[in-house]
Amino acid sequence: MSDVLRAVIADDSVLLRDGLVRLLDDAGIAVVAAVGDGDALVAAVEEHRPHLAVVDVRMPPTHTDEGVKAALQIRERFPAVAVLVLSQYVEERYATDLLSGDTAGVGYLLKDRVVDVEDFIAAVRRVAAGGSAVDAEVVRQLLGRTGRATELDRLTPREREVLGLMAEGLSNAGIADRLVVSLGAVEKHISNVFTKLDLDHETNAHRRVLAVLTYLGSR
Amino acid sequence: MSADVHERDNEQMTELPPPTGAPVGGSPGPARKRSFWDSVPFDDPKEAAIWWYGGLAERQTWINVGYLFAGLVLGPIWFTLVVTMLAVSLPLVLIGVGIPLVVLSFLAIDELAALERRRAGWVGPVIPPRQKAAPADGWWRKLVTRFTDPTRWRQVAYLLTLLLAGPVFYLLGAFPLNVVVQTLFGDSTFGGSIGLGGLIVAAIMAGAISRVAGFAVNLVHSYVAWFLGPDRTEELEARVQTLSGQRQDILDAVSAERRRIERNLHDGVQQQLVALGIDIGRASARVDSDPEGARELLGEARDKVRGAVGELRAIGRGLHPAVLDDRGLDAALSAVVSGAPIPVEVAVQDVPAVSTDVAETAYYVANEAVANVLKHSQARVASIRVASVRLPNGGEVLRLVVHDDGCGGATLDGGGTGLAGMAARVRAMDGTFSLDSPAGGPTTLRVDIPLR
Repeated sequence: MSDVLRAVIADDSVLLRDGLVRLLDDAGIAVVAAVGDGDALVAAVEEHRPHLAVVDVRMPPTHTDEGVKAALQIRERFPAVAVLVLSQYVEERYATDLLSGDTAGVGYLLKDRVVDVEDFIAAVRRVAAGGSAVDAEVVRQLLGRTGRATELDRLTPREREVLGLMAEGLSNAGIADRLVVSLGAVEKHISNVFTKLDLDHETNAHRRVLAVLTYLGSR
Repeated sequence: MSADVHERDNEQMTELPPPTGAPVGGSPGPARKRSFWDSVPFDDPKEAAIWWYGGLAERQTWINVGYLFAGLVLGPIWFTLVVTMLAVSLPLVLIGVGIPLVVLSFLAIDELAALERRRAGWVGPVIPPRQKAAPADGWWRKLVTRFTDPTRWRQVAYLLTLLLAGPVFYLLGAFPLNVVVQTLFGDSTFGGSIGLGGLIVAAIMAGAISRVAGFAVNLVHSYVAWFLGPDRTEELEARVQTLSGQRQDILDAVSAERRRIERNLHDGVQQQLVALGIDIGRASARVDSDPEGARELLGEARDKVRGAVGELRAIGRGLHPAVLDDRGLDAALSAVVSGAPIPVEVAVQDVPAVSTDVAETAYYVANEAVANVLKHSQARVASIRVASVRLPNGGEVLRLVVHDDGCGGATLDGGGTGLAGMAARVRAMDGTFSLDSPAGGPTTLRVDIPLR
């Protein structure tokens, strides 16, 4: 990509806001605004039209789900802007709100992920490019649900890993990197997964996420 | 200025009414009987004399005697009053005009009973009023309830029987006194001339005055309490109500505490750790390409570690102050105020060993109060005083007084003071919480916690 990614950051902790700015800066992403609450975020997005907004779930005034609300607002009013929501802990309700419907350009990650700098930046770029990022913890919880246990047993351990990484929103190349296997092997695993679970074969990464999440989410 | 503040504080502490406690020289109650003979100083004559005759010098002895005498006198007076009122008003009920008269009579009787209860407070614990039947709806029902209320008739019974009870108690309690008086000032009651024997008897009886009077007064107090005091069952029911309220307060306080801890951990420590992680991540990314930058980032990381540890330490203190266990309330309170930007005096008068709950409650209230002083009051000086105090009704409490010369205006429910939670905690310990904080200041917070 030749043009620089532009991002807006929203987090009420000055310490974290600062850290995120520097982190993205290091990665060559331009932070055009850094704000501390939901209203300021929406205003900044409107003004700067960034590629991506990185948003903390908890912000003033109520410190509950201002971030999610702001993120949904942005999705509605400025569909071209991707949104990555950072949360202190997995709140399934927020994950569902964000990820139901179109998962293109949407991400929901635990704040801890920020510490794995490389993976975090990869997720940021992926979401900004229209892909998805779903936290491994969310996926783990979904995979752990008993509703689909029997069907998931049909998968080999490798296939389950691939399923999980698909749910996280990784592309085939990303999965291949993570598991240190060839692209061809990944494609084969994915094909098996879809067949065994009786799902339509999706090739588009973010539609795939939706399909898998929907599958895992329903009982 | 600061000297004035502290002087005033000192006065407040010593202005407290002197303890009256239980009547002195009273008969040994059941618990004390066992050690009664142990306390008699048989070996030293001077000690023995002081022990036998000491009661005569105490004020309470003479208050007791006076009380018994008053009962003797008031008995016939109350009797006459009550009989007259009822004899006049009751028959007139039949022609209607008596009804208001009856109502008035009962009101008067209420007042007399209240007087008797207060009078009994001179020789024993204050007797709270007995519960009256709840008034029903409608004026007729109200009247009937009033008329048939057993409490009211108990009052009548007491006032009437005092006619006999008064003299009986007086004769009983003042018997030794009468003997002494008769011997010294009147004809001998035992016939014959006084003689040496009579004098000896009188001398011995003199020492018995305080004891017998005290014994009689205890009897009378129980007598009055039985007639006019609260019903045991009612008392217990009221207690259950209070306890339920306190339990709810504790539950609320506990969940408020939990939320506070969660917020402190989340907003403070967790943020710092994530920011710390970012620093380390960025440092490791540039270890080869920019070692100086990496070193700088690691320095910042170390600062954040220190900050997080300090935060955790503060949270830990909020959960349980270890210093309270190790070195007691004085040291714990000094730790609370050390490092405060304004001078805060800590004075813990010698306090008997208190239970952990009491010490902890006092500590947390003081902690919260000082935090408020520093955050909201803009005070220039403050003080914390702790002492054990004996209340007029005989109970002993740990009294904590926090004073500051700031802008005042603190309220229990005012935003972010945490005082409501502290008040709930104190109430849960059966204590009292009072806040005097007029706008413009100064502010005084006073907490009494009963000592078991």
